[in-house]
Amino acid sequence: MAAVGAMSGMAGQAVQGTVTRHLHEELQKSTEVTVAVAVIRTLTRAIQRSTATTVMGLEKDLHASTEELKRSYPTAISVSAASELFLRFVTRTTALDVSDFEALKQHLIDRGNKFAEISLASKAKIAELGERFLHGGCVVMVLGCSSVILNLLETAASKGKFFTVIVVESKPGTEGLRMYKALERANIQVTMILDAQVAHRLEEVDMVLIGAEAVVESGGIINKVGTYQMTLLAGVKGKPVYVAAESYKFSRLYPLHQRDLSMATEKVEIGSSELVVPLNDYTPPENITLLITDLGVLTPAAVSDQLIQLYQ
Amino acid sequence: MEDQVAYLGNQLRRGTTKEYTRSLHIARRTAELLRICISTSKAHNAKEIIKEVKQVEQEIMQEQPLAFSVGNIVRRVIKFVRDEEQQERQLALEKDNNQDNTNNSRHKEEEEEEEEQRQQEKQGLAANKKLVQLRQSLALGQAMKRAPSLKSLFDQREIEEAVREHHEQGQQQQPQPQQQQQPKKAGKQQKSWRRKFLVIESINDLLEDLGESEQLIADQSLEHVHAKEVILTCGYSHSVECFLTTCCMRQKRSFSVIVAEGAPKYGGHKMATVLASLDTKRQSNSTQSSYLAMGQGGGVSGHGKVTVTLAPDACVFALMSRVNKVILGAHALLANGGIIAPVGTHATCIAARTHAVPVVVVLGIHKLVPQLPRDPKLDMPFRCYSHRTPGEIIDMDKVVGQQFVSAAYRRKGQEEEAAARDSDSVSSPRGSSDGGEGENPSSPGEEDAEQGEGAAEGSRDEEEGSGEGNPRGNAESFEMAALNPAYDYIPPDMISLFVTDTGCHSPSYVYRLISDYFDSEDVLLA
Repeated sequence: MAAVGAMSGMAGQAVQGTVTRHLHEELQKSTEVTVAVAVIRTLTRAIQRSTATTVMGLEKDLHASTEELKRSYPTAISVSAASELFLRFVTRTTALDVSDFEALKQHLIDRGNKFAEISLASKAKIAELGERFLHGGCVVMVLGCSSVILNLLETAASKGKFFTVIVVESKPGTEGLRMYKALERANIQVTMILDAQVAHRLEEVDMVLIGAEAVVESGGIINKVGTYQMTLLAGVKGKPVYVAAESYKFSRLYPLHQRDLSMATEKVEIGSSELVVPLNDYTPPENITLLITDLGVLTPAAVSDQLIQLYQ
Repeated sequence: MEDQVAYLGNQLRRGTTKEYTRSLHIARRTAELLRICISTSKAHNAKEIIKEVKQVEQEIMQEQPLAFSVGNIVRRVIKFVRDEEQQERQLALEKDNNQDNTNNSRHKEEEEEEEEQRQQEKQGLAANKKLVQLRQSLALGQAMKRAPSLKSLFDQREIEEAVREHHEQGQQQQPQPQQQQQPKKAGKQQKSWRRKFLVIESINDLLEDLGESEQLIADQSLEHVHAKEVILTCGYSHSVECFLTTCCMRQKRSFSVIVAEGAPKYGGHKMATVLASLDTKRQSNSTQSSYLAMGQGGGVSGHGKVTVTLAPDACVFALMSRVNKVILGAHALLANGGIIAPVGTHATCIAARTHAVPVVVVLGIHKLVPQLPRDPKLDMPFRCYSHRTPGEIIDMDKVVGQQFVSAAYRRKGQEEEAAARDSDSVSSPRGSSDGGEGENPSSPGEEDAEQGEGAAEGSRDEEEGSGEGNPRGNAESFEMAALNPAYDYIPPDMISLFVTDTGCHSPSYVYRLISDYFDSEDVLLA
């Protein structure tokens, strides 16, 4: 995943506070872990470490940890989305039950630890919903290396569906290569193309499948740079664009332009010169046909409804 | 009751009676049938009732998978049942909480009184045990009511645990008071009656809504059709007819309508006739009234003037530049905001989009299907929703070959027809041997299917035919495929507005209607 790689890269620059250090450890633990799961595990440990004896004290500690994480990774949207979600959950739980503090604390820790299982279940549910969109003999175009999309395609293949995948190289970072190798291992027919070939190959494609780093309130997504381009072209050619994302990626941002987001950037060398290249771009909801999430298949308009329900 | 279900299924399949062709009437029949089914059901809890209802749906839908209104009404009724079940569970939880409270209240009464005095003016924090637990159970109830959402992401386990705990507590209490078991059972039966009564009330409300739906839609016509506007419509739709008629007669608007024929059913002819006869009604009324007979223009006698133009489907694009608005009916409204409409509508919508003409779709909310389109592209003819007989387009002789048709007549015992067809081919050889062989376009699938059927018959025919001097290689006997898809899928971005009996909605709002009317468990896309 691009996110994990980027995070590890960024951690070196950040101030190494305790919480940040823990997050880094969690990310290093396994390559399969998503950023959100790592963040929530870190915050759970923060609760465990907290010496507060009241609910207010606990919330204050948690706030401080969240702020530290956001300071260390200012451009990682998944960090802020996941920590907001966890904070929200904590405040709502504490509002309900005020009797036994220790029990409450334990309850929060249990819930935080179970979150990893929830995230795995989300992926499975998305795969189950998403593989219905693949009909026999279809051609799918994929960008980057999203674990959710990979899981979806592997599930469909294991159920005996026959389809072809076209993987876009996705520079900088060339995650496309990782996706290509993974799909080959799953015995799926796959070809890899250059980023510049997207329009060239779009006419033979039946649908475009992409993952997301974050789903914003308008129903658009933030994903690896090149996604916006691909969805624009797909829209022109009349191909449906399906986004697969878990529900904990929903964030309360509402960008209107590309520059509304503080983008993470990377330095890329071309020949003898160096380029500063953004890692993500924003895809507006008009370019997206449907979002496949563990809450069901949503139209982009339905995303804000879900967020309102949570933050009510 | 079983024979009623079978009757409904049969009527749907035949599709002949007027009552069983319109979605509205089908919906009404289904609702009445379900009302009978639930009121005569002996089920003790919600799950069994839902099972029974689903069984009824399966029996009805076996033959007619395209009668979406049956499925819609069934799912709405299931939602009523589930809502009542949740209310019941909520009340049970509150009851348990209150029982716990009465057990603990003796040694905590004093504490509570002190706290109450302290907290009397503050509204937010509820230190009162009862309030806290009540809020807990309400939150539980609320969270359970909603579809899986971000909120329930963390709560789901909580809810399950809480429910499990309550069940365990209940089970622990049960073996102790054995004497109370019978009154408990009676209590359960009483509860199921109460619930059924409420569900039946909801179904009655639904039936009332269905009865009013057409009128509610037509009442909104004034906002959408303006004076001297040019409206375009395709084929025939009851909702659109009622819409435009009300606009003209009751609300006295004058406008023009271009009606596209809607081949191969040619429903447009009926629509045009109905709309044009509004004018004669107006004229006949004015002749009857005394001094108003002198008036020439419309509107004096109290009706608007409707000018009707009937046009073939092929002319729609050419006429679109003069159209102000396209008003269409639909067969079903899908969960993403797209619609299933009679064939030819998609072409009209593309023409409308090219000329920036708004498309307004008029339909009752009972047509809302909690399902995504089967194939979003839907430009492959065999993935279309259904096909009708090719005989509507062209004579069946040309489709399956004359030997097959003659054989069919012979089997029926209509020797003359068969002989006539045979003699046709023999007596008028047009010598166009090239034309006869050349007509075998595309679609191997359909041809194979027909040839597969016809081959078995054809071989028999050959023997008979050769016996009667009907050579197979004759120029007149050719076979071709004729595609007759019944419906088109129109994606949501081509539609501007839905006018329904619950108000006007944009296509992007349909997801909200789905979550209002259907339970997430029944939605086929989840």
